[in-house]
Amino acid sequence: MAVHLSLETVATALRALVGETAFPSITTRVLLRTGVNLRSPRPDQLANAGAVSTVVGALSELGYRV
Amino acid sequence: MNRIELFTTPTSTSAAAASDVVSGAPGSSQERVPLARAFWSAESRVASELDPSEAAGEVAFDLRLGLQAEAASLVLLFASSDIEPDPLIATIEDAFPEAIVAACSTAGEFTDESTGTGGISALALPATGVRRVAAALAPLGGGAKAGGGLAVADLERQLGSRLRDLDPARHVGILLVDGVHGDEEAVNEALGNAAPLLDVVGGSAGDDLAFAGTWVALGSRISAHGAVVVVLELEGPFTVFKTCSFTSTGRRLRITAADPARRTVLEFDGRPAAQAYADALGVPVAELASRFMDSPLGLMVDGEPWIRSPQRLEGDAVVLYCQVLEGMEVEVMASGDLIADTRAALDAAVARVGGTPRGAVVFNCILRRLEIDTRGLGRAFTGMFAGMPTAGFHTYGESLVSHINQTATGIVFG
Repeated sequence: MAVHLSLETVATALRALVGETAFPSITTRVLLRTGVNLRSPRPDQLANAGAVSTVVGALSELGYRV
Repeated sequence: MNRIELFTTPTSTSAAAASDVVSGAPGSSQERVPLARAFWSAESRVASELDPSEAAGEVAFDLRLGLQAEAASLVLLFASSDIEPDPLIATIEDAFPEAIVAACSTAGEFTDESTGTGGISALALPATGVRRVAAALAPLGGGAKAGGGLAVADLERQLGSRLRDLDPARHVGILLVDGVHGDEEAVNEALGNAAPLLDVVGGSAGDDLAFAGTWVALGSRISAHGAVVVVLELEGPFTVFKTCSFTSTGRRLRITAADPARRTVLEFDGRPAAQAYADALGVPVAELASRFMDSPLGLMVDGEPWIRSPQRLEGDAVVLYCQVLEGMEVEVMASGDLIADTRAALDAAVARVGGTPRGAVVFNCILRRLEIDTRGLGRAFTGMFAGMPTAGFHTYGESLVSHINQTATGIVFG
């Protein structure tokens, strides 16, 4: 599992892992659980370590290690 | 001849038992037998005069009639909390020994022909068109995530496959979950963790606005603190839908302090939640509660609101019917036309299954029912389903991906 410094690299890694078809469904789940939109991150969350960690954790719970 | 497999665990979540059923239906899956629905109204009878077995007998008769001699694979039963569940379910189980029976208490029941309270609505899926059905009862008293996990393990044992490996184009889940213990988020998360790409649609059981206790049931196993999860493998097309009649005003509130376990917002934008919410609406705090129905909050996903409805004020805090977390940004909603918006969502869903639906199950929020009742829209509401055998209930919350409020969710079967 890589160390991510921003939500952009998390999104890129997730997209590569699950493909374009599944990406929207999974990011919707993440948004509803965390408030973080991986498809269009808020500027204050983009490189926020807490937001990145929360999203990586949520993805891990969903079975996606990015 | 259409062969289906039905799985359920009749006695415990740790001892799955499977039984195969051969449909007695004539013809093939190409014949597209419609779903059957039934509605039983208590009318002017008081609860003490109700005979649940007699009521269930009438429901079973109507379902059998609707099935056109086809066997059932799944019977969904939605009943007022005024009606004792044990004899009700026992009668339905006796009438449909070939099917799984999943049930819950409600805050009102409806079909495409009727809506009311104090009665029963039911939907039977014909065996034709359903390849497999599995169902599990999640006990939530020991923790919602743990209970959800037990249900997942049970389903996976029955299906012989991990839920996440099921093809989401052929499988769909139905969730009937306790409506008063606040476990819906955790149950939805447990299901989502197990099957992130599987659509699970459902509603929170009700108790006719008493908010004292609800029940869910899988066959004769009835739980006052549980969830029933059904997984269907379908041969034909199906689609899930979600609709609410709200649009964003564009006014955003960031949650800066919250108590998620109590679904409570303490602060928006660093200010007492009630004051900030009232300011966003341009009303004094004293008027805020009167605006809750028309101006709930929405978590926006691609411009679409996932509604979090306010329930009450607790001092400066705002208690919601749905969990929110610190750091989340919500937008203040403006209400629209419930009937027009729902009709548009249904029309789109019907089009997605090819324009000739076999039926639908719908989970409609109690807050929407209250609006329907207040505005005298009952006939317009049921009329939206005209030509599509439909049954559903008015819920204490809806499920699709997560727990949501002031929304209708459902499955349209093609």
